[in-house]
Amino acid sequence: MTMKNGSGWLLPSLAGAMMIGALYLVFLWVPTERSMGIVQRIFYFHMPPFLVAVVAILVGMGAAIRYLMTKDLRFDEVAVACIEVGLVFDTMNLLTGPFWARPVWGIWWTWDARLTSAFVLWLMFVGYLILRQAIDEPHMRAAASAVVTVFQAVGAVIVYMANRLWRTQHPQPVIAGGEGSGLASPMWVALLGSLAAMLVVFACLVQVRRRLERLRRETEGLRREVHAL
Amino acid sequence: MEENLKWLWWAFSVAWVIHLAYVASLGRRQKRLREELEALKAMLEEKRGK
Amino acid sequence: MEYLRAALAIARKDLRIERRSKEVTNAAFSFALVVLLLFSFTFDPSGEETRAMSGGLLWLVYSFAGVLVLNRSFARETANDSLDALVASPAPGGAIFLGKALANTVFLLGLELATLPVFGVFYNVRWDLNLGWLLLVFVLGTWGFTVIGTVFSAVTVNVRLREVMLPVLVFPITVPALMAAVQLTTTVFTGQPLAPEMVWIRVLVAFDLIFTLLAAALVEFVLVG
Repeated sequence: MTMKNGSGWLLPSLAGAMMIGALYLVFLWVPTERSMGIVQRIFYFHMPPFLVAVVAILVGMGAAIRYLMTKDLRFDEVAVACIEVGLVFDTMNLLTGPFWARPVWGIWWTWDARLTSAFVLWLMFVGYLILRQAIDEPHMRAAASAVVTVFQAVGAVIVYMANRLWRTQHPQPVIAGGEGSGLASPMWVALLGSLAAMLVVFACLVQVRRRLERLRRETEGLRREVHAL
Repeated sequence: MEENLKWLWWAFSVAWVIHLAYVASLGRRQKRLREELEALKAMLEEKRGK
Repeated sequence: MEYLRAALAIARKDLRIERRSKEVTNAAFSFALVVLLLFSFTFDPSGEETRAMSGGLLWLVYSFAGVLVLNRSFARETANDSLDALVASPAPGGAIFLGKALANTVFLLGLELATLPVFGVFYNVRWDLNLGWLLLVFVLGTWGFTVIGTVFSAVTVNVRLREVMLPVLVFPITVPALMAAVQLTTTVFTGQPLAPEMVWIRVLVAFDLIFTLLAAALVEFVLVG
């Protein structure tokens, strides 16, 4: 597997180092939270993935717009890589949350603004990937994907804002203490450390996925050539 | 305390499993594409040779 | 001006086709009735809670029946390569989109207005209490839904599993418009004052503006690309 081939060893090594650093911060360094206990540490690897997913769709949107302007398929590579890796991180957010919510708040899930938005984002990522699988021609696929991504990214922002509005009118149990709940400074360090590590891992995975997409296009092109003969 | 540790452990495991499964999926797809590419190249050589 | 004329021409064309064949409106209306039937089994239709859910119910019916209509929008152009002809015509992509969106809105509003009295009877809901505001909500909500649905109908026109892809892609994005429409409709049905809910009207207007502009700008890439 060419994760650590000659030209691209720097990023994975950095990711690995930061991951170890983050693990240390989250599990050994940051003090245990008083009211929730040891389970609260889940927060440090439950929240950052959501932020990474948001970064993913925004970068994906940037790449999509660049593709539409230039028709350069390399931007399409970046776009699909961002969305797919974004899906992985959003899945992580959605699946780790319940393990924190259940012991602390007694419920597996609640439709508060953040969780609902995380789920909508997840569905958007999935819809995008399913659409891509259904289109064979590379430029049509890239154009369709790009338009979808722009709509989804704008939509995701509006969904989050609308959900905030809805939940202020219909108060629900809010997991993670709602907006602006205080975080002591060591907690910020652990949170930001975890986020930084995850962003580097995200960048790593995007690079790998880009290479895979390039390989895929090469194969598809050759497949067409062979069948044409 | 032990009770809550179980939840932390589960969340941590799930997080890792997701990432490792994805990396494995990337590896598997890459292998499959490489194999197909080689096969197609061979087919192309053959057809050109004829 | 040419832009608008082209859009209206395309809208008229779609409306004329539908007036003759009635294929979509019949299917969509029947489906709406079926969904109303199914809902009656999921909870007690006579209870007071129903009124609290009435807006949500109605818009779910509209959403599900609506995708049938929207799916057809570009799908009807695939026969005889008329989509290629449409794209090759001097009408700009944005005008094609606008025309189809207008036609779809007319179809959907027709569907909604036809379903409303039936819904009122089945679920014992007074819908005529504040008709002016209700219609405003219908128009704003339907336009938002239609804009997204029409663009994605174009995106998925040549795609496998189009009928499933469309709702999967459209619904997550239309959540804010749906939310606003539901909230406003329930408020009207339950006779509550509208003043505290005016923010949702703003949400709908903003949603409609943003996505109409986005759609008009981007649809070109889907039709030609």
